[in-house]
Amino acid sequence: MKVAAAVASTTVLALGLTACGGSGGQSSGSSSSGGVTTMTWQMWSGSEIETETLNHLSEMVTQADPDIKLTIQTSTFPDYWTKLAAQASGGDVGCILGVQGPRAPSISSLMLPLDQGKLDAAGIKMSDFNPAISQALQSDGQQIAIPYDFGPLVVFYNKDLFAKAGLKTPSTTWTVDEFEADARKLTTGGKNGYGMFPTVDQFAAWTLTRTGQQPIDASGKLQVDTPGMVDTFSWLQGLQKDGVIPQLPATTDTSAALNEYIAGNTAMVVDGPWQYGNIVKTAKFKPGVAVIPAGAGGGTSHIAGSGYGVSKSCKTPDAALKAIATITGPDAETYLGKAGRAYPARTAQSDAWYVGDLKEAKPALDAAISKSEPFHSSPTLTQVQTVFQQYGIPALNGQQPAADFLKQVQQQAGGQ
Amino acid sequence: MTLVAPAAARAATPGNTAAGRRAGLTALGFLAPSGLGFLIFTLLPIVGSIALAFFSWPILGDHTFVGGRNFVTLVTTDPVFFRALRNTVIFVVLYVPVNFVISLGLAVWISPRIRLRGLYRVLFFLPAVTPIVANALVWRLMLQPKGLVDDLLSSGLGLGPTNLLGGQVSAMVCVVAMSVWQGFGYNMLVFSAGLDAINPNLYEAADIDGVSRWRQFWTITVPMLSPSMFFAAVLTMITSFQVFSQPYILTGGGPGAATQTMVMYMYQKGFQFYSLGMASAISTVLLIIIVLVTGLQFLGQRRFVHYDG
Repeated sequence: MKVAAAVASTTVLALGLTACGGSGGQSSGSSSSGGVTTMTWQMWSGSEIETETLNHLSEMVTQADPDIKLTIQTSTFPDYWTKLAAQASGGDVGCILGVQGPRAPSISSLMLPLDQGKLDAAGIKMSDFNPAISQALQSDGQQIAIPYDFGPLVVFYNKDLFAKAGLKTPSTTWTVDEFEADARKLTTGGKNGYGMFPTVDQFAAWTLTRTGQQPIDASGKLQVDTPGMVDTFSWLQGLQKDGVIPQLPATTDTSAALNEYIAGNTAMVVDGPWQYGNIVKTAKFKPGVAVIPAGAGGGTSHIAGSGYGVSKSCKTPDAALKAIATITGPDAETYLGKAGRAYPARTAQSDAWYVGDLKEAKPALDAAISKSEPFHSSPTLTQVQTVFQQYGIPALNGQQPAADFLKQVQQQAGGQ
Repeated sequence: MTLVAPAAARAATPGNTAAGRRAGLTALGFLAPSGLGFLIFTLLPIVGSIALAFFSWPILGDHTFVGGRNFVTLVTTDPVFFRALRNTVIFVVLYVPVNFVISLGLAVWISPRIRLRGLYRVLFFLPAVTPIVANALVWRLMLQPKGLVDDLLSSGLGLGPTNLLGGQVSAMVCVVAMSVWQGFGYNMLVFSAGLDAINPNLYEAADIDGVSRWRQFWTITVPMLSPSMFFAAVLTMITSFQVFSQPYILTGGGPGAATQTMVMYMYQKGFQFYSLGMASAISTVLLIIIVLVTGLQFLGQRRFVHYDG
């Protein structure tokens, strides 16, 4: 009996201890010991190369200020927003958070407003940055994140496949019809001309150039079932039916089309300049960069970008802002630009992106940026994206008419 | 004698003697760790989750009590709920029988003392112990267009390019196939152990009586194995109603909502649409369904399960 009681009480004690240990072990936003402040930096990363650049930036912070150390937590881009919301409801968010412009309205309640006093103390001058992306990272007139990159969406193309098909490379004024003709000629020998994964931003690139409208209007309302939208999606469905766009498997992997391009299976893909570093390091062919072709809507492109902000629950906001000043500073921006990871948001450092073969893309990109408008976002962008992607895959594969699909998106994500 | 027997009978009843009370306390002592763990980590969160279903609980924002409104919305205006329920039921109806047939068949196949029996057991059990997410990723690589299966089907059999993960029906079939591959090893082990416990004299007697092997299977093996089958059926039903990882990784619930199950919809509502109240309502409905199905199985136990005397 005594032995039984002793065994029982020790097991209860052990259980209690494990319970306490388990809950307290979660990473908190920041901690300090011996004068060194360690903060958690949450950011998305889609490849090992992106994670390496983040590590390099973190080292730059400690070099600039030995009292600050950063611990990086990464997730894939779609999971980052889910994880952020879940951690926020548990009160367990990091100190420095990556903020994408279109998603800023939905997480603005998590971010610390950065007023002029705080910015001056950290040595950050907003006038150094591109005004469009700075504005996209504001909420209620207050800055909630410091931008580090921005860009129009561009068309990455496979120079080797273009040469093999005897096509001349895209000019800065090429049209949607020329794009379609090239894509059809490139659909041969088991390859496809253009790979697409139905995200709202990619769709917006096509609707903007063909009709001058974005799926979300300037006030944040969803307007995805208008005739212009239906017409653009039907055009894409037509390309898919003719084999120019390959059939899509059902997946939540938004890089599916990009990975097919890098593997050399598709000749063109639409994505942002931030992917260039990843492409050039992993692709076994020569990649080229072209603007979104000009359509009836005027050849405008939309630009979006990202930045870093401080979370409201951070215990050391001043140190966090100082770290952000370093990772968005001139040296970091030059590094990111040269690595092809980001088209720098700092106006003076933008040219750092044009290294090597990319120099020939400069006139195209400059033209695109000068004729661009910010990507219209809404507070429920995550819902819009989720529904659009989920039903867009079978719709693009031809299993649902464009009008029905877009009406479904409007109904399920537009009302909220 | 009559004086001794009642006293002895009274002494034997627990609870009204010092020895009985001590035995009771000992039992409580041994149950305490498990019971405490169950209370804190299982029962309280379940009650909390059911309570959450009666609130509007956005992840970022204020929480308000709304009564049964979440449930009403689910069954009246929600566009996906019944589709998710239907997909879950389809998955259960496809997965459980196929799993049983394969695991029982393989267990019977390796039950005689064949060579390398132990090795076969290990090989068949391997998928069950490998991480499900890694397995699903590899299966996705095999099944996607221009993947291994697509190459085999188009070049080997001469069919055109396939998109198994993109068809409404084929996507669900792929999810079921992957789940069966992952899960049959566990049930096979249970059945294998159960088969080993069947008295061989029964088979000898049947041989002497001239009963065919097929009839022996149905009249000896299945009834003697029925306790293991009941155990496997209850567990497999419960886990198949809760399926999440396989459709999430393989198809993301797509194409459209063709493979979106209840737990996936709950995840989407809670963590992508930030509505924890609705997610809890979905999980409460799922809990009720699973409890009902398990209850039905326990009722059927009396008729179908034969325990040794």
